[in-house]
Amino acid sequence: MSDGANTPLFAPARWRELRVLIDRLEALAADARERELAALGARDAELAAAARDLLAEPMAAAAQPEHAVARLLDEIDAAIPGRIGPFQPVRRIGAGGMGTVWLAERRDADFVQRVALKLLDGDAARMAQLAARERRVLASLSHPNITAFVDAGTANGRAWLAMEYVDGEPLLAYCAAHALGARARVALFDQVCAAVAHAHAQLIVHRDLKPSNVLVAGDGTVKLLDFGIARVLDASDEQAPATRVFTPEYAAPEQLRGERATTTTDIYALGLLLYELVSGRRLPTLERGGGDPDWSTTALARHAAAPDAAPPSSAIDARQLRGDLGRIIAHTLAADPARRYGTVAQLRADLRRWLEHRPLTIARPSLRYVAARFVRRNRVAVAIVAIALLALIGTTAFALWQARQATRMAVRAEHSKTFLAGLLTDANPFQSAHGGKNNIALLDSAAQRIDKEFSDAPDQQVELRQIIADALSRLGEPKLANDLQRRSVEQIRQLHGERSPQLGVALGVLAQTAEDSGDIETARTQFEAAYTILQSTGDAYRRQRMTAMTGLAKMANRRSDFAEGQRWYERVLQERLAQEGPASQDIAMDLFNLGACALYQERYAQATDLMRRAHAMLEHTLGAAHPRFIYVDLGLGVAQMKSGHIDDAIKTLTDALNLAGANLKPGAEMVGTIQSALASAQWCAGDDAAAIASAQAAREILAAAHAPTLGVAELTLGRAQLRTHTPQALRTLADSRQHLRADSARAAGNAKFLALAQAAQGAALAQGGDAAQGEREARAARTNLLAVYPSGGEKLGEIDAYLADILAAQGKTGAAHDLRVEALATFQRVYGDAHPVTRALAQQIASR
Amino acid sequence: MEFPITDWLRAAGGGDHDAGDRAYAAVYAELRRLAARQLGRGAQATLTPTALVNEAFLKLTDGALANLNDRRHFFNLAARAMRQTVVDHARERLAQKRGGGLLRTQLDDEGTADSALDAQQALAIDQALRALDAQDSELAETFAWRVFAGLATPQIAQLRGVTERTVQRDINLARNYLRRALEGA
Repeated sequence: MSDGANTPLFAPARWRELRVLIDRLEALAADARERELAALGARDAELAAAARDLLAEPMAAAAQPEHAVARLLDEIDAAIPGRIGPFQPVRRIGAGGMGTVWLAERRDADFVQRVALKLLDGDAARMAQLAARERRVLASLSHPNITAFVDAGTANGRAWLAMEYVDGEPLLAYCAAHALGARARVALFDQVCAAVAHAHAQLIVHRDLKPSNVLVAGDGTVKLLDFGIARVLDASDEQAPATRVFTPEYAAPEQLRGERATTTTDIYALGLLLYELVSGRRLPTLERGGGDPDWSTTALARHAAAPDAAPPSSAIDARQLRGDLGRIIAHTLAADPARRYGTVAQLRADLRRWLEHRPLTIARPSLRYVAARFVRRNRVAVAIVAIALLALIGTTAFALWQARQATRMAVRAEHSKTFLAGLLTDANPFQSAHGGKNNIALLDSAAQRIDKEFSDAPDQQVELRQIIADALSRLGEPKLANDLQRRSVEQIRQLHGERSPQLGVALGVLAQTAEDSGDIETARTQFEAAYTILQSTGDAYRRQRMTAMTGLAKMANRRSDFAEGQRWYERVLQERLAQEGPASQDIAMDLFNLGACALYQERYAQATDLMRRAHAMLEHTLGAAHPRFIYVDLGLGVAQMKSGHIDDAIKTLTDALNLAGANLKPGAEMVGTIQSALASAQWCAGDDAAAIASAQAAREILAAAHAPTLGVAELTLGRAQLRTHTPQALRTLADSRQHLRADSARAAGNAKFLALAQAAQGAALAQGGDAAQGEREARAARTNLLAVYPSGGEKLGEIDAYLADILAAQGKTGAAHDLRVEALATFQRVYGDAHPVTRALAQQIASR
Repeated sequence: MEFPITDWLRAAGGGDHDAGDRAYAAVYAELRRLAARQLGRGAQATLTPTALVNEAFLKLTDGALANLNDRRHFFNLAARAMRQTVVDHARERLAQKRGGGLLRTQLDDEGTADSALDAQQALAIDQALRALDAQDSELAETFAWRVFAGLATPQIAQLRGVTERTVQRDINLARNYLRRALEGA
């Protein structure tokens, strides 16, 4: 439609003339009207034609111009969906490759919750599956600059996601409307960076950062939309290399090539966003095409000053892009991801330097650049991965230390393994030809060459070693990692001195690699050395000190000195409370650790209480269904089981199992561990069929994972089989003992299980007819237990109960009765009267 | 009353732009809400402007907008809101057809052809109605009340203080004018 439609058809005087004429003609009969028009036509043909036209008889409805409007209203009508889950769509606010977005409301008695409701196109079942898998990941993003995830589900065959609704202006429009200068724009951009950094710390990549995904709310808070949506919509197949959902104009070169998006992909998009924010123009990356050359600051400035059209809103003189701001942008836009800023934090740091007129960190070729060049020279593609991996976990040794701590939780580890696997696949096309081991060999040889190539730069040697050590550690090569880190420690000792905090930190990292490789004694010595240095380094090293103390607590627990472990955890808790106030995720984990100590010391009521507090604090700080509940609920479930709250325990452990299933890879060791605990609880509840099913599932997973806890799962399985008179019990219990014995790292803790397995095996022998041999095994088990564990505890009661069964089978009812009474006293002491195990035994005694 | 809509309408009538904007926003929001609720009721319910606008009128004014000017003002706002809805929808349709910068493979092409024509036509009517408004605002108002607010002939006659016959004539005239404008463009 041309603009001419806006202009009236007739000049005002002409229109007045026409209206008078029309009013008069209207009143006439048809033939009189025609005569008048004919006469008029001779005088003013144009006027007559216009009047005839405007007087035309009413048109058929379908010919009326407004008919299109009516049809569109129908279409709008049809397009507004009915109720979706608890939400009523109100207004369509957008559409995209994934579907449509609606402003929707949930109306309760006294408040209206408004959300941005995304109705996803595509196969509902598949979308729902993806949404379910990722909703917890989305829910884990909690940041003031990220629109919060509200809910997800399916309705009428479509999957939907509800996100926080932001009533704001698009970023660029906001900047233009407020005529913001470059510094104010960079300040807004920094909020975007904060949001992205938060997500990257959770190992979540946005993949579709662009100006229209950033809103500024009325109070000036920047809100980043659609975080994780792309991830949700991404192919469900972990192996699929490419993401489908992105906007070509804002995509990084590697995305356009169909490669997997990484955190550095987001950094590229941030660079484009920054460019558009300050220059008011989109950088024509897509249009330029071909060959992916890097952007020079000159080219950036040239495009900003292009004379095609006045930019709607620019904050800077295009020439400014030739300076440091342009250098920052060009650095984010490097065609090779390895040469971009490795982390959002680095980009932010340089922007801060720019704001403060200080020299940039990229003034000289960065370490990352040097490192990448080094790696390329070595044709070790996989080492790029190590550098890229660093982007996920921070740069300095301190960040590395903290990140290692943060990523210790297995969910994170699973995530980073997935990421690493993805990165490896992308970076090393020869992987399939050479096999996975090759990566490790390449990393190892890269590490060796660091000595030669960086002999004049010990600081860089240290940093590179730590990067590669960390990658090795993640690849499941803690011994190689440990060797490498040990050399770093020596170097730091020479560089910074015997009492330097740097040495304390490096020793802490070293201790962890030692712990990972099973060298507990060395780990303990090194944690102690780390703590000795760090205890006098003040508040600045509090975090690292707490980690060393946590390490010492773990070491104490591993040698079964749980009282000592508890003392360390209590000190950690005190430092933490001083640092983080009354409630935090970390405090919740400290409470959890203390609960675990109480559990080991068989103080079950106290353990349950501590675990419950840990659970409640996590719920308070992280919200429900966060992956971290997997661990806490495992502890809580075991504590509940031991304190006799079997129903609670089964519920807690089932929740943990579901959460683990939704968050961890199938076959993750943790899933097996939870199933093993669940089997125990089911055994306590007397549900042998369920216990056998759970224990068998646990056994499969733990065997495949070569998990040291396999023997414990087999013990539960064997005991349930024994109670159901299944002949396999004997074989299962023999396996259990073998696997328990093989786990030398936990010899002290396993001694109790070993004794119990031996006694159960005795009972199985007796059940099979060889009561005499059974009795010998059970008595030996009793002796073995008391040798390592003089007070006996609950396991003594369990062994005595088996021994009593064997004696009873031999007709020695008196001795059997006495033993059962003794076992009952033990159960009453450890479990209390109400515990089902206690009650079952009491009943057995009463019935005889 | 939920909104001081009467005050706003009066202030807007007196040239207070801010009050006008607020009144417009209130009417617009109410129409959306009503439309959504209407559709929540069941399959038969459709988005007829008549029902929506009249219900919004009752809801926002308690049916007690005695002043004729206020009433005219209200229905003008309602027509503007519905018109904006149609224009937004039409633009979106056309943007979708063009692909809107998204990956082409993600697009769903079904049924876009017909509705793209309607969308173009609706935008053209919006433009032509501006021309008519510049030519003869009363005609344009009458047409908008009919098409976008769904007002019936007697209602319009009452609002304008003219006979129903005049309203019918004016609507016919407006249609012919718009057709001419559309053809001429």
